[in-house]
Amino acid sequence: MATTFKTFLNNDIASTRTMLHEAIPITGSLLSGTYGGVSVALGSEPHIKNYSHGMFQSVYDYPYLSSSANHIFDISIGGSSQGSMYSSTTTQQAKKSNIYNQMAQVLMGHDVNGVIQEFDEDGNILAGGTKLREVFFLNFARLLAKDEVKKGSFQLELGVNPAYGNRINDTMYTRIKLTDASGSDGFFVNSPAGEYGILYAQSTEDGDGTLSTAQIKDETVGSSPSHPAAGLLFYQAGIAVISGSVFNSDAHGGILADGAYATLAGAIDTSNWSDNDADDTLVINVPTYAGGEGETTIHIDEDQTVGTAVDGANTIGIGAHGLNAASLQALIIKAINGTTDAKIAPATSGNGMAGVKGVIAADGGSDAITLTAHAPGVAGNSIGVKDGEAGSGGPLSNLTSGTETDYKYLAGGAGGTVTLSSDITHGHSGFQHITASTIEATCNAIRNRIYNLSFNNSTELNSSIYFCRINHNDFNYSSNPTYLSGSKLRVKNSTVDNPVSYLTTIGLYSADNELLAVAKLSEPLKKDPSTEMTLRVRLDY
Amino acid sequence: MPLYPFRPNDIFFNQIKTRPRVDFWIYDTRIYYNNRAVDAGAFHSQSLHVEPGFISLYEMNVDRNQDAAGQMIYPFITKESGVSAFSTVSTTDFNAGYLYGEEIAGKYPLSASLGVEFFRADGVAHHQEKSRHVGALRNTLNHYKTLSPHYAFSGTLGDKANQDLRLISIPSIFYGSSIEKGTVSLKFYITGTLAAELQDVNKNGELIQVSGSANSRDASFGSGSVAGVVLYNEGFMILTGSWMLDPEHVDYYSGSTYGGGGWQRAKWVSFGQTLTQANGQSHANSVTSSAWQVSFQGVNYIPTLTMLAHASRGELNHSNNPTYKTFGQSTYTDVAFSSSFQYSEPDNVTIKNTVSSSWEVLTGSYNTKYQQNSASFKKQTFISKIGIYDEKKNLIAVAKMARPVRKTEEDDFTFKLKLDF
Repeated sequence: MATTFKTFLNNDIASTRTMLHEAIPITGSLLSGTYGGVSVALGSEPHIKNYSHGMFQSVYDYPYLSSSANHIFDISIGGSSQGSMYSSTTTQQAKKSNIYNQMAQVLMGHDVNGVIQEFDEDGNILAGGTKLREVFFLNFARLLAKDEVKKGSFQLELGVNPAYGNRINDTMYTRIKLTDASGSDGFFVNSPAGEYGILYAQSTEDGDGTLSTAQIKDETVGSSPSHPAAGLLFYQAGIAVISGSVFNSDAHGGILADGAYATLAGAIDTSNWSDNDADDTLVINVPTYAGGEGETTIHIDEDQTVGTAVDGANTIGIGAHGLNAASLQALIIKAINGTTDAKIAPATSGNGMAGVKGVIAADGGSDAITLTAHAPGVAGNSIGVKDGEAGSGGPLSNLTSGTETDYKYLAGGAGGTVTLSSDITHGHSGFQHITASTIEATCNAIRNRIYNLSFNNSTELNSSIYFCRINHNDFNYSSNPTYLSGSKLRVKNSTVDNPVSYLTTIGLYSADNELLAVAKLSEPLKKDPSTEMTLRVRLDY
Repeated sequence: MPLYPFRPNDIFFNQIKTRPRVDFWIYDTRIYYNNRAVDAGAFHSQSLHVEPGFISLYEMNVDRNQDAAGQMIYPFITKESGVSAFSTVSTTDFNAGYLYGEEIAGKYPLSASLGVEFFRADGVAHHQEKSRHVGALRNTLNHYKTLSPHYAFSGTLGDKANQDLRLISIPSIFYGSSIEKGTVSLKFYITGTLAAELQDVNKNGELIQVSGSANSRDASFGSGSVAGVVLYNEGFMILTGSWMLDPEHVDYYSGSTYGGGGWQRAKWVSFGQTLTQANGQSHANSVTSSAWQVSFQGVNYIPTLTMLAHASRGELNHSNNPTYKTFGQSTYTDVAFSSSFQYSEPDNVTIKNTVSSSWEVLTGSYNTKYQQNSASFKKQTFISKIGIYDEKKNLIAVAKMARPVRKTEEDDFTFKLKLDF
């Protein structure tokens, strides 16, 4: 208990605020692929929690049955009843609408008539403008978002390769990135849930590692004014509202460039085929990111009249004995397209068991065959065809402009609406996926399209700083019993000696002398009448 | 929504005293905390990025590829005029190492575990650490001399500055406010057999050898002797017992840095030797024949605020929920009247009767049956939430019921709300 008090004056107490941030990187592989691997169906991974109500999905950074797991975010989708997809939504229509309304009323509030305001693309509600009516939500855990998401730090990179291909990698062949680049100075305050910024989309990967081709309609690579708005980020709420347009091409109401199919006219030419020729092989390579399964060989067997699986795995056999060029052309088209014919033997295993996936063959006239990618997009430009045999002649004579056994590639593929999941039986492309799929299925598909997600969070640390000013004539004595020895001050040998004390602790008291806080020095400070000091006590909360 | 002020007797503060049980095992190169096994992740050999004997503060990074750039969550402060920085950044570094606007980055995980250090009697090899680590406890040890003379830093029972000494440091995150007196146990196992055990049986900080195979031998093996002391409030254990615990068994108990790395007898000062020591000493030869256990209970206080919210008889019997009214009443009865001169609420709105009857009318269709399944009208509400407001009527907390509580006009409820800090 202190016996000497000194009152703080106005200038002795100051308040400061420090922003503590954390960088939060979330890789796409953490969201899909790491736990359970590709052998486990999307949605059944041990770090994904689905609920019987089916209205959202919780994503953890580790199998959630482990106590180590942290909740990262919840993901869900919503559709406004004013949206174009609403009437055609046949699965969980009410739930999708309710989720949209629930989120919109919390994040956007109501208008003067009490009607829930829809998410506004540019944040200017009074001006009307485009509304975001089919969206998905990323509701970040408070553990990660803390007080708020730091403005200008949010990045969400999405794979927009139209072909679904193999999970994890192939969907990411082409990518776009959403950022709140203007968030630091261009945020909006007309939300009941705090401040929010616009998420703008830009291309980040066009498939060849060097970004030159824009994946977004009317975008000029590297020019921010050409980046379209594609979502909202609510900083304090820690919620990202992403427009479904990020998965659709312009023709389907989205922001992506319209799709063009890679094609190669006269890719295969059978006009030089002669029944007396030796066997020939044709190799078509459709990478998985182009919707294929790699190299498939078509073995044209001059000795056989019916389809024979000569090489078995990865090879389609055609019995070509006695055929003319036109007949062989028709059979090759059937073999590629997976059409059954007695003269065609599908591969016994591996690739080619049901035609050549990812590419469509058509009559190109004059015994030639035109190949076209099954899905639009630049990935189709990687589809190649070559003669498997060295030497001239054979059915591929027009591929001999270079070396006959070099791949000749399809060209002209660009843009395109993405396929959100391997289940394309519904026939809905892009975000139309939500009309016939459950919320859970669409969430799985979206997770599989997230390449990277990162943001910085902010925590506000408020501090009160108390400047404890000790004048030369203050605190030179101690009330500690050991300060006295035989009724004399231990530190004084004669009456003219200066008193000395050692400061170890500072007590902060309330107005009615209640001890509220204690500050301790790391080492005692010597104090005598020849010194003055100011001790700075900081209290963080 | 009615608001009721808390009366003086409705709010009270107290604290819950908890005693977390703590158990450390030390074997070979590892410490194990509360029997936690190694949890290997997909990207890292430890899912929490710390060894099993460590606590990861915040546990922000879970199973990340820490060798790849940009994969780990980390904290940072931007250097600004507020001159705030992490305490690990020195003033010199702050001034010279960072530009204004630059990130001052920290690192996760921050971890804590048992620290074990051995200091030699002569102090030659590690005299600086001994001076700092043990010397810093001089005043604290002397302070407790009144409890036991064994606390004395220097005295008739030994001089801790000049004797073989084992310092075990326990971060307070493991125990809270203090270590519970009388719960400390240190066990020394040799080839799977309990050779000796220390306990603070007298609750005065003395660690007394109470059991083990050493106790069945003659007195020179330490039965009943004080092998060290515990600083309950500060979280330290100091072992100075240097008698043999086994007359035959030898191992690298003192490590390669002591006595030329030769074989040593098991002693209390050898406790936890195989670890890479907290003071940076490491040993070429590990001790695999022995295991050690440190167990105790902590004392941790949880401040608790208890609030009593009363729903008295005759109160809280009306709801403003729209569904409280009967649906489909005519506009003359359930819509407010307004004109240029007046505004009046409707005065004859029918409240939906939700009183359930055990008697069912079993005639008519399925729907009819349930429409008629109600008893005579009675006012009742279902309380689902209690909001706590500050003096400025800001909602600062919400308590939710596990299931709504039905309240009739005759009911008198008190809800007990508890908030742990």
